[in-house]
Amino acid sequence: MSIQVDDNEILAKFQQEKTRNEAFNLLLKKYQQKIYWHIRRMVIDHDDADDLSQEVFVKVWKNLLGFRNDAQLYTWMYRIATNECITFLNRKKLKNNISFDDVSYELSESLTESAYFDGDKAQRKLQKAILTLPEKQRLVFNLKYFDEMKYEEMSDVLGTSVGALKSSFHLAVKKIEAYLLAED
Amino acid sequence: MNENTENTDWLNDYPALKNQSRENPFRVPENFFEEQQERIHAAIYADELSKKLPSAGFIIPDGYFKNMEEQILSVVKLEEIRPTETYIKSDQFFEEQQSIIAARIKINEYAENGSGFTVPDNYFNDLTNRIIQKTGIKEVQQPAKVRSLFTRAAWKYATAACIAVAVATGFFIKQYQSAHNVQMQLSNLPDADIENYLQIHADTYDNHVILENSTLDTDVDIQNNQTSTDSNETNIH
Repeated sequence: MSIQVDDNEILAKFQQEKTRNEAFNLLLKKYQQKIYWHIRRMVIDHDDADDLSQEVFVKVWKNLLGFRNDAQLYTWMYRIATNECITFLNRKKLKNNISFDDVSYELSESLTESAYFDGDKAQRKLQKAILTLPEKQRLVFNLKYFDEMKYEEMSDVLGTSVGALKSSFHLAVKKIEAYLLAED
Repeated sequence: MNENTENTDWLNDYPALKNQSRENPFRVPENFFEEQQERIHAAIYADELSKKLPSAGFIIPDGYFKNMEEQILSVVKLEEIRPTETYIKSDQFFEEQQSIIAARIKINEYAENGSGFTVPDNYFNDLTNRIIQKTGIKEVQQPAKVRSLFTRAAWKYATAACIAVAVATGFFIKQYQSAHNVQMQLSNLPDADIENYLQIHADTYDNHVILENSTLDTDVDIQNNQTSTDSNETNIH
């Protein structure tokens, strides 16, 4: 269970050198799992999600002193995590010289083989349906469906207008519904 | 579609998705998040440390990486220009060499085992005698010649040489003795006679020569000089 400490309190403590470690521990307890699951749903593999979430929090530590209060702390961290995921997936495509469809296939295989996935058939089917989506639509769908993030917050995270996000989400949901109805 | 709303009413338009469980199907290892916190702290500590010690305490010589690059390029160039095969050989050289070696081994074995033909004992010793008998040639043993080491001519020359040496030696001895005889005669003369002779016949300049060539000791010379001086004085008086 995450401890709900106010972000401003965390930021204020982080500004003070003697309470910086305490503030960071509070931040980890509040956002560590959210960030991990956001990354995990994008990269599927647990070890990759572990590495990337560590990278995210190291970057948070290094840049939190320069964080501007005009943005929300958690959308800022989601943005860092999202960028890490996109960079990782792009690197995977370049490294294996494969297309988006092939990456989706690999991730789908990883889902099947993963020791850390114990969803039932319907859940597995939903995850495979999500993996058929383009990255941007997948991000939007995950943030909306699983994290229940507001469009305005999503706009901060993804740097996209609310209208474009709604359109992406609409397309994503239609594709998933079609997939769930067609595949049996 | 009602996805504009921030609630989940939009799901009513998508029955298949609505029937899906929202439970997270993904799992993580036990105590994963607690351990990950420790790993994040460790990663941050390592990052801070790397800022404080950019070279991690290790020092490299000036221009090391530049030199290393040059060395690597040199090695690569050498590898490029090095021929893959230095020596040239015929295509079937090794096959031919194998057959030659095999043939030589067989010949050696054949030679060691003999030709397979044999002869009776002492065959070759008797063969010569039997050939001589059949041809009728008698073996004649000629007496050995005795050659004298000293010929007559050698004796002549040796005798002449001995005579010549004897004559020459006698002549030399005679000359030597005659020379020594003069000195012996002079030594028998009294000193007074010699002094008188020198006083009468010697020039003033001869004194210097007589002193230089004198074989007597200095003391003796001085005594002689005094004696001669006294005698001279005596003669003068």
